[in-house]
Amino acid sequence: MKVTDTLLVGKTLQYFDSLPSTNEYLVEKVKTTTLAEGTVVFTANQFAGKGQASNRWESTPNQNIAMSILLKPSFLLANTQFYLNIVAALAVKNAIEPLLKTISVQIKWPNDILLNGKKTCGILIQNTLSGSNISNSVVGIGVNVNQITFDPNLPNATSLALQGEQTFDIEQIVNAICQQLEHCYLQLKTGQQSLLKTAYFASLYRFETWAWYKKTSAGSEPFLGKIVDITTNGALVLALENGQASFDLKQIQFL
Amino acid sequence: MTFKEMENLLKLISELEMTEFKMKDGEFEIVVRTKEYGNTKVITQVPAPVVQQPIIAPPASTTSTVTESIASTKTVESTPVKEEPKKNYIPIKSPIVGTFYRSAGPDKEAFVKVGDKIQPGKVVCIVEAMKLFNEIEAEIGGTIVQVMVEDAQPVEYDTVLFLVEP
Repeated sequence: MKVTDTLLVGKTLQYFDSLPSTNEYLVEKVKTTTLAEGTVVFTANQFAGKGQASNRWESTPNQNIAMSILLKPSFLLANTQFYLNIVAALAVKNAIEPLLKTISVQIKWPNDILLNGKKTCGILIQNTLSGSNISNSVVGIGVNVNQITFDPNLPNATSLALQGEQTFDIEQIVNAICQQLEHCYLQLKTGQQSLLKTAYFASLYRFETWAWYKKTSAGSEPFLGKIVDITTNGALVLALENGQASFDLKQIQFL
Repeated sequence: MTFKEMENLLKLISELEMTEFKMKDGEFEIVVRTKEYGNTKVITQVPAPVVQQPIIAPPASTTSTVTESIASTKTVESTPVKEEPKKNYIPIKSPIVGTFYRSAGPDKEAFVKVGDKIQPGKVVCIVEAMKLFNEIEAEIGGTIVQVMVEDAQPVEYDTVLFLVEP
């Protein structure tokens, strides 16, 4: 596998036939060795991928993308790190959208990628902070590409192949993700935050649309809300029937 | 703990709107509870057995109870407590809003515990927010004397996570 047409992302690529988790590998590796910014770790078979909290990210060998990219966003204040989610989500969305002509590609807050409303990509970012400085950021990206059967317990999972009704070239998509990540990351680095935020909102699932939500606290009733913004911390801002409120990822559920 | 340190600690507890605060430092133990926890704010200071050092609690009893508001520093200052050699604990604060984790996973060991010697660069905890996981590195070296937040609890910007004795 080779990444071309980038200055930074993927210039160094470490390929593994099999790894428990590309994020875990890169997070540990960067502690003991000096790795260039943009270093990519890719595996054809990630068998213990890391999902949110204790969730696992399931993947069939040789069918999907499991990769992690090392960034060194020392220019970014720790409390504005949500822009890393915006950069990563936009990069994947921009990379796969041209391959899927008639299919709706959307970002679900904070950073899932949906095809026709179903999840095809998960992103998990692991930073190292020293004070308010982000010294390293490992951006983990898992994309379901050619896998066509999923655990029936995951009814909301899909893949590019399932939605696009064809198989896709994994190396080509990895290239597109690296190129787009570099593009969006350089936008962030050159202070174009408002441009990134506008693009994020333009692709955001349920943006400016009334829909049902539920608080995760016990005994909560479903309520109507409309996504109108995100805070600097990345919390979701909903317009409600009687005002406005912001929610942390753990506080709210999309119905 | 000196008067000044006690005063600062109480101010901090008050500002953070904690309902309960416990601290144990080998030599003494302190428990602070606010109105939200019980009906009165109680400060209890119980010295642990000390062989050589003078104890810092009031001489007449091993327990002192202050029922007034913890913001009232006057009340605290009126309590007879002997001065101790000053200890300058350095706080490790949260650089972001998020959820505090003491280990990398539910089945993993805590990054640090009280009594551990740490060097600058040592990962002491994870603060997670919106699927961004942040390993927090110590900027200073020393000994962890106190873990200020319980595992899996929300933290604000600048919340004190650990106290370190340099």
